[in-house]
Amino acid sequence: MSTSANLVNSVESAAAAPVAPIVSFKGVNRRFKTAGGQVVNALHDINLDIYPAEFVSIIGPSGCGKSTLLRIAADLLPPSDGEVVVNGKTPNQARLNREYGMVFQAAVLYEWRSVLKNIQLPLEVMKWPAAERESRSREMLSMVELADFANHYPWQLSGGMQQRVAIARALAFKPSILLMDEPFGALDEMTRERMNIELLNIWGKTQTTVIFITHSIQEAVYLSSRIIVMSARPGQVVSDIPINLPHPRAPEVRDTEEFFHLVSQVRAGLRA
Amino acid sequence: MTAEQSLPLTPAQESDLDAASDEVYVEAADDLIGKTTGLDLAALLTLALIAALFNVLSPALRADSPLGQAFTSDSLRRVVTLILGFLALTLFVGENAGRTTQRSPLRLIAGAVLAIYTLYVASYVFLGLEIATDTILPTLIEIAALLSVIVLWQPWRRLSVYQKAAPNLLPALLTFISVLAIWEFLIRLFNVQQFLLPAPSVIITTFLAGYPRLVSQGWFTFQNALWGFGIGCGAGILFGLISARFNNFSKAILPYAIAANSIPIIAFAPITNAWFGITHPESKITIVAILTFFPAMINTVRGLTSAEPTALELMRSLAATELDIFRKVRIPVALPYIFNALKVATTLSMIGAIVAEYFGGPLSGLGVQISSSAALIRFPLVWSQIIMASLLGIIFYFVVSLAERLVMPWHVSFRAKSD
Repeated sequence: MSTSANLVNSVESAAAAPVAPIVSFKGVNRRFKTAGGQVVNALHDINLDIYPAEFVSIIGPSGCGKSTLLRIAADLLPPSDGEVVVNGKTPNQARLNREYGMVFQAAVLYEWRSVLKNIQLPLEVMKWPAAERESRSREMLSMVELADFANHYPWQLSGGMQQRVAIARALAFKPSILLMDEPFGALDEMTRERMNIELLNIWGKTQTTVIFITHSIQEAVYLSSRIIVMSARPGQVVSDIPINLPHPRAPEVRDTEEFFHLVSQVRAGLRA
Repeated sequence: MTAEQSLPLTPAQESDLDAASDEVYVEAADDLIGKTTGLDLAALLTLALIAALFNVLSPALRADSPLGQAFTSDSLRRVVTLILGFLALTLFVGENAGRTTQRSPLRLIAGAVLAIYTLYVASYVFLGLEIATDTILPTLIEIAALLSVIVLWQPWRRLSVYQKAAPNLLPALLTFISVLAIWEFLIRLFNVQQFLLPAPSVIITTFLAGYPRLVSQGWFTFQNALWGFGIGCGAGILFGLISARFNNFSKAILPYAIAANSIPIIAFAPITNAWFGITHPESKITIVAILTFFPAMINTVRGLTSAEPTALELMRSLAATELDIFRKVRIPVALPYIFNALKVATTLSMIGAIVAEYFGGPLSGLGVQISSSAALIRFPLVWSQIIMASLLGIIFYFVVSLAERLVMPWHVSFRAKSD
């Protein structure tokens, strides 16, 4: 599965052929206790399979538990009931196995490290040899087109550039799953569109499975090979919409009839 | 979010920690001593030190000049040489935060000259070598060093910094000058007796007439402050590290550390005098160590627990070890807090070392001299001794804040304010 056309087809072929899901939620519930002692159901009976090399966006109203779902997959939160299987392992094993690259809404760059050193952080933690750390981080930096900013500090970059560094850092150690929690939510519309184009390019090159949380319907349709729509609390999967727009996706795809149709389909799912 | 992501501190403990750390005071002091103009003060201090050290290097001036007599103590000469090396390094590094530019050859040469000069001074001060000190060599190398400082400093390229700093510093400077002027004027107008309040001009004359003795007295007391500072802050940071790591230890110790902030620890001075002997430096060092221990510990704990939850979550998603999280996140986050504590501790250690001597101590100490001059109603001398104490305190504070600049040039307070 090296061409992007194949990547898109993976959804359908997954439905037919026995390709094992890379992430599988089975009857996942998550409850929280509020400060007042009340129990709130954040997620209710989530059953969801995500296949290798898919770009899956999870969209839903605020407080529907999309982030909670991502955090459960990432082993940052345990589910209350049900189980999650990642590459045949528990999320905990997968995390210890370093299979997750994470990108948060804030870039979470360490201000005491230069851009290059920030990208090297995971590689240091994983004890890569210094020479490989250097070459890999340079490679990632040119991938996100920031090669000239290697020795800058994070605060010298714009928000969009910071988020690109965060993406480079998340992908530096070649994780099999990229988890993105509203990564472009804090960016202005124009930067956001540019970032979307770049993210699609990166995804095409790396074939990483992406789980992408977003508020924006347009963003979800433009980026995804599949969109999961969730309902308000308790969060449930209400629709599962394959996006079969061709690849490579030029930005102009957003002006096509098909795109508008998909957008209204997702919107309908959100209203349901 | 989850329990293991933030160190176990209750909200009440956190607010206690915040209240107990002296951030506001440090911020005000930094405004005055100058984060923006820190490099300029460093350059001026370096020039002054080079000029003073000339009186140490030259055999003739060493014996005869007042400055030569001020710097007779071996330990003082050594510490001054170390400070010189440190200042030279600071000047050479310059304001490098985020700069990617190469150093020009001129800067490299100037840095090398300063390094050679420092080594030359060290060869005499530390090893007692007299390498051509009675020839013209010290003069030549001295002039080269002074020029190098100017080259590294480049004040003409910092005009925009001064323009920005001036509106902030000018009011404070004007206050200082006008207070002195009014003081002088009122003393003359009402012919106030000297034992009540001497005029600034009288204090300065007394200071200039007697500064070699003042320097040696100040140095004697400052050594106690320095040892106490080292022991107190070292132990405080160590205990802070331990209590941030082990919850039970923190529960047992932290409440007392916070409460100790409201105890006048200096009141224990007579007790340490009894323990260690009134003329033994240990009695003063102990007081200083206790004084500086608590802020160092409190700020270390506060810094180590201040990492953003997402910064820790990132490390967790990478399956980082506890040790990695400590080294790569918690300690860098804690550094600004620790340096705040160290800066507060410089002041505390000077207060402790001087006031502890008010309760008795060897005659060579500044605190003893202040209290005896006051008893003898020699108030111009008392005031000039207080000036000496203040100068030492300010230089101590300033050197620590320069160390802060060297260790964490990335910190928000050192970022260029130009854009």
